[in-house]
Amino acid sequence: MEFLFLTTLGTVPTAIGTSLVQLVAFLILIGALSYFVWKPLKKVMDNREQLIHTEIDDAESQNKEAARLKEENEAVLRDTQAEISTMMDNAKQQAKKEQEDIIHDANTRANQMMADARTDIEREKEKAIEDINSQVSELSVLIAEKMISKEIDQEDQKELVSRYLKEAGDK
Amino acid sequence: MDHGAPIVELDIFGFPIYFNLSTVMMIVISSLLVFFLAFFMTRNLSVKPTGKKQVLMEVLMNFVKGIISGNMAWKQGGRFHFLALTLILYIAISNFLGLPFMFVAPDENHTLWWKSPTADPVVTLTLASLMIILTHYYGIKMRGIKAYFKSYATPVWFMAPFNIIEEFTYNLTLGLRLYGNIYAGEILLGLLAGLMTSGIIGFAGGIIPMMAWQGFSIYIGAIQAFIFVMLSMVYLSHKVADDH
Repeated sequence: MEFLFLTTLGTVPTAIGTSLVQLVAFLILIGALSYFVWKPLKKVMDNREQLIHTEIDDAESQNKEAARLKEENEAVLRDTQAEISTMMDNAKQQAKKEQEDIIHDANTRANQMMADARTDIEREKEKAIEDINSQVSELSVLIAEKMISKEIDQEDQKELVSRYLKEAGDK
Repeated sequence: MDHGAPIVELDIFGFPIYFNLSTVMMIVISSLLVFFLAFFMTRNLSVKPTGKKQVLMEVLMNFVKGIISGNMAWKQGGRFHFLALTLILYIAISNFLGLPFMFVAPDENHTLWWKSPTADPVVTLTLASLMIILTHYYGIKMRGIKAYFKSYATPVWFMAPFNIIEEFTYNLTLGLRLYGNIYAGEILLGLLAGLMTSGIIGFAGGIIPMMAWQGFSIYIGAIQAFIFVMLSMVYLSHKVADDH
């Protein structure tokens, strides 16, 4: 090995050593920078990109979910309202029917009672008339006995009986 | 303003191999600087970044991703992401290294020690060659050897020589564009520095152009790093993409 300081720029052979140094230095630099700097940096940037992608996807899916839930809630609300209105209608109809039933019952019962009362009255009246009739006949018999106790002739009696009969027939 | 270079000869297996010690030193410094800068800017990474450092690195990452996806589908270009990131950061930092000061040894050769590593054509051509070789490697790997050789005969077979020459011109232009820009910038910076140290009048006359040129050089350094990566990705996409 021999060291030699030359004073001027050499020719092509002087280039080889320097060139080799540059080549080796640059290759080492690429390797070192790739390992220590570019790879970690790229990883961080890729992670960020990934993160942003997932965040956006999450937000989208959450928006979709929210829209779906809203739709669902509205549907439930609509259903409930419809149900309530049917229930109300049913209840109203039921109440109306019951009302009608009650009124009808009351009417029937009242009519029944009136009819009963009427028949009662009728019967009482007939009974009373019957009573009166029997009393009248009793009285008639009494009167007749009184009359008979008096002295009546055949003619008078005959006339009397027919008159009574006539009167009884008119009744 | 002729600067010497500290060339050292090392005999390895009987072959003399020469190293430009200044360039080697600057390559090592630049690489370490890039690594530790990127390393300490990406500590405490979190999905929800709290500091500006992580955000800055993520901006760079997305910027490079934009360069690649502007040329090819991300499905194909994603594998070049780390390569392009390292490349743009390394070239940009290398371009900036020569700006704040330069160091010339006080010996009779004016040996230049502190400079941008990219102000050395060997460095830029090495990087360019690496990228061109990678285009061929991935061209064969991703499209098959048949499609790779077929691509030389497009649009017609007699264009093949031009297509082959083109590969070498790509390499040269890619490397020398970067070298030329940075080297010229540093030459001008050296001249302005010489002017400013020549006397009170020279200092007064040189300070404004010095500041302007340093600011412009920062711009050039960033732009050249961008162009280098951009063109590398264009060449890669030529070889890798199925449709173009």
